[in-house]
Amino acid sequence: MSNRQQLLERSAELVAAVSEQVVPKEKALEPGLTLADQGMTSLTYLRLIDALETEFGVYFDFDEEEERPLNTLDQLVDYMLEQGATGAG
Amino acid sequence: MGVLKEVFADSAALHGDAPALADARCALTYRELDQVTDDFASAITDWWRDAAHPSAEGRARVVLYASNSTRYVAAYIGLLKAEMVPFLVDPALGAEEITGIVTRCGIDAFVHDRDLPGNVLCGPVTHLGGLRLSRVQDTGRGRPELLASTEVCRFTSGSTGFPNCIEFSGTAVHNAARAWLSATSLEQGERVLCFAGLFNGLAFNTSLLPSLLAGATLWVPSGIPSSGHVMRFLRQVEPTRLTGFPALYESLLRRNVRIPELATLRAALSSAAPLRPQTALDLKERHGLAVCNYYGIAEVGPLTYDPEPGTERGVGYPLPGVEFAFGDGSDAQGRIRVRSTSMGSRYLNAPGVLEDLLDGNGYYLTGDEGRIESGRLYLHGRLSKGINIGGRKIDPAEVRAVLEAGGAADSVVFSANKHNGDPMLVAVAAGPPELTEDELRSWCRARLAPYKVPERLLVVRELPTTSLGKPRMNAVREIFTQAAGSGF
Repeated sequence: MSNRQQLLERSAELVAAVSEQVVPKEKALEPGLTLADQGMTSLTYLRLIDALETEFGVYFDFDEEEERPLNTLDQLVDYMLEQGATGAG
Repeated sequence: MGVLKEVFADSAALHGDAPALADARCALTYRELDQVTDDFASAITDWWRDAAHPSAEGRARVVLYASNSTRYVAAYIGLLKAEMVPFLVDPALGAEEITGIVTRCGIDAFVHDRDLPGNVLCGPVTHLGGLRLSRVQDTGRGRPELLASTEVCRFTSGSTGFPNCIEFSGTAVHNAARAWLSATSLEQGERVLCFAGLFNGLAFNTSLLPSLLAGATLWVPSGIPSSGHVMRFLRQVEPTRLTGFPALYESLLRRNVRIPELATLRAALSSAAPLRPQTALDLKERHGLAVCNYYGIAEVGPLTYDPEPGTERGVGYPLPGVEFAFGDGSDAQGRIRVRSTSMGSRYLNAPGVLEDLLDGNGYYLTGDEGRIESGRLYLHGRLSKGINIGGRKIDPAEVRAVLEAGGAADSVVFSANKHNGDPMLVAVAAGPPELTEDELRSWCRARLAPYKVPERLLVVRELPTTSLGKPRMNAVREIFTQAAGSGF
């Protein structure tokens, strides 16, 4: 499994955990939809960002969000990959 | 000349080259802010001269629909200088709400930083002050008149199925800021780091004008208040004051690191939703931070402050110009009634509704119960049916109307706590077999602000009702609890 796929799988598990299964792992892995479209609220999104930053040692700069949206799991994973995150933890 | 226009001009003259305003991309002194806002006012006045519909009358009504930034503040002050009326709107609002605001408030134009939901704009987009400027379609219908004293309009969740637009005089906004300055001793040279949306009373009343009156520097980063984002600005700015909703403080506690900048804050503010007692205790214990969870109401302004907040100390002392009464006026506790020198004048889009909440002495009847003890206000609970999710107020009638337009025959909307303690919005809707939860959620997403879309949505064939045909709330909650327990 590629590093990106590992990161994606683990991030989807975190989505399921922080949303208390409102967005199950399988649904989180469906491409294209934003996390909000999948039913994630802003409070849960905040929990997700905290969990990703803590687990992978990355920082999401929301001042760049105009040019660099962070609305889908793919976008979050790509952002983390650029900061050298690895799915192996 | 508008009161606020004059207030900002005086502030610029007084504080000159002191730093006034900053975000991650831009920093302005008071003199530079004055110049930028003069330029904005001049440009938007020229634009409106050409863009106005032939039928346009009175002062232009312009919605500010954008995240926090220096550009936002400059546009707000620029609109005041242009003698236009800024309408400060939550940029999370969806198509249904935006369309309702445009038609019910007679909006002329938008200053925005993103595409608008719905289909209310027309004509080319102009770029001004780093934001977009767009004209609204001419509906050709009359619009409610603004009071001559109105300088700013802000919104509250309402209880009538749509957001209520509160008209504020410049004097009321100025009074709120002066009362806050007096009670909180905000001083020249302080640095105020504000993560609450500037459209909301928390930021508007405690950070925006108070900072600029005091000669402080107002920092307005955009983006969500994740612990990483907040910590970055705490280190960069070394603020003396921090403004944010409870979610910001809970996010900081999820990070298992020392944050020494928190202990040196002169004040940390929270409002709109109660800060959990355990959150307050953990912040004090782990970071030496005492958060002031003050009391304020959209229609009446900021009402209390405690310079030495504590979990057992209520929500603070009344601000200057604020008077509380309880029950029928002779009681020491009960339903809170309050009047202040910073009250809104009326609802532009709901004639008579705000007036009906005022008694003969001008006291506003709140939906809260409380008491005054040793000079401090203590809250006991809420009487109103409004829902509060993380500081954002939700009118269940508004959500139900959208659910029922989307195919539900009947519905109940309420809040419940998740296992992690976060509040969530829940809807149980009765509908035909072909109505799915995903479809209904998508329907809501296309029309409502994300925070008004039920996080948990359950579709059943019918709701249990009373003999009068009204849903039985306890039975509906039980249906939801059982369904949630089985994972739907």
